[in-house]
Amino acid sequence: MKNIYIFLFFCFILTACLDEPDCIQEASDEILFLFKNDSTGASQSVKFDSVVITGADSVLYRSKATPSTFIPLNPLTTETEIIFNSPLGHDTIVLQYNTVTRLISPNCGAETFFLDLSVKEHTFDSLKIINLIVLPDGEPNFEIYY
Amino acid sequence: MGSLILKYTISLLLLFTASLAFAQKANKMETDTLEAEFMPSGVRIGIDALNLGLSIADDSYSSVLFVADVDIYRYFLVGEYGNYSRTRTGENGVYTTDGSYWRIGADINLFKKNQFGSVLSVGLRYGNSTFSDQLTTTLASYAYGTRQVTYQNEGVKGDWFEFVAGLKVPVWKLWLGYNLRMKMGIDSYEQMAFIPYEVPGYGLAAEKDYWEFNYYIMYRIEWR
Repeated sequence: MKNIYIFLFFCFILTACLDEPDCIQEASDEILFLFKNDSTGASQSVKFDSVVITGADSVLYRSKATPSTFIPLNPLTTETEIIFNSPLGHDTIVLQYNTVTRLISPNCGAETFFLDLSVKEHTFDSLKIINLIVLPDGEPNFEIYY
Repeated sequence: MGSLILKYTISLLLLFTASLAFAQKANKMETDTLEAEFMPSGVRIGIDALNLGLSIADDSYSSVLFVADVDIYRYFLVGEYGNYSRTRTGENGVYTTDGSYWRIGADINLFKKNQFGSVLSVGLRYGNSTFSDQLTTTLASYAYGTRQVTYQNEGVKGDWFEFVAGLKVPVWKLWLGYNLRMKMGIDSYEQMAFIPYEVPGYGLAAEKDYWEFNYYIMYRIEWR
């Protein structure tokens, strides 16, 4: 009989653990382009007629001058083509990558990591790769010289 | 004098022979006792009532876990088999995992002698799971718009280790008991395009260690 009391005591003090994780987003889908002056290397604002992602519904920039731009990669493909139209030229860059998607939780939703980023092709006269890691740290990935 | 020496010699030889025979008999009795203690006396089979109760109470949860153990002296060889299916619905997705798992291991009874035959045990387990999973969620992006997407995996494998502590007591014809288990060593699945969220038998895959509580109802079949 004594054992039953011990058993019931342990049953009552043990409680189930909560298993809902925190909604902490660790991934980013954006890469950062900086625009530079070809002769001085200084930051330069470029007024784009448009910046378009192939397969995307919207035009990212229209008639706007900017020294840098964040471009979101497509999480459902392994390639994103970006077209920069400006008075300085009409240039295209195709980026390749692999994706890994994880569910943070059904309430928080999913996030996609972009890995093994590489430049498949581009038409810029001068493009400098700064880093090929896509993280939400605001670090630039590419510099484009006009 | 010679006959006296012969008499003592014969007596000593008889005594020595007798003591050898007695020692052999004692050794045989000891070996027999040890063999008897290490012979399994029965098998205990049961089901996890907690999983069963949750399955009845919650339509999105279906889980059944069977357990069996065999005693060998103060040790128990333990085998478990379970089926698990669960759909988790949230504000940003519906995730379903479905699969089966098994665990094998051993426990040691910390009670050397207990008049009720109760078992207070600690032990180790190796767990192995095979499952499929699916996530339907909505991706919202200022560039790509709002899209509903489905990610899925088939035939995913996972394995892990567990530390287990528990108590079992005989109550009428049954045995009631619980286990508290800490699991660890699950794969990170980072090589997969879609990382599984929940592994049947383990729990949330992102957790490096995971706790589970089981409440068993068991029946013991004795053969000696």
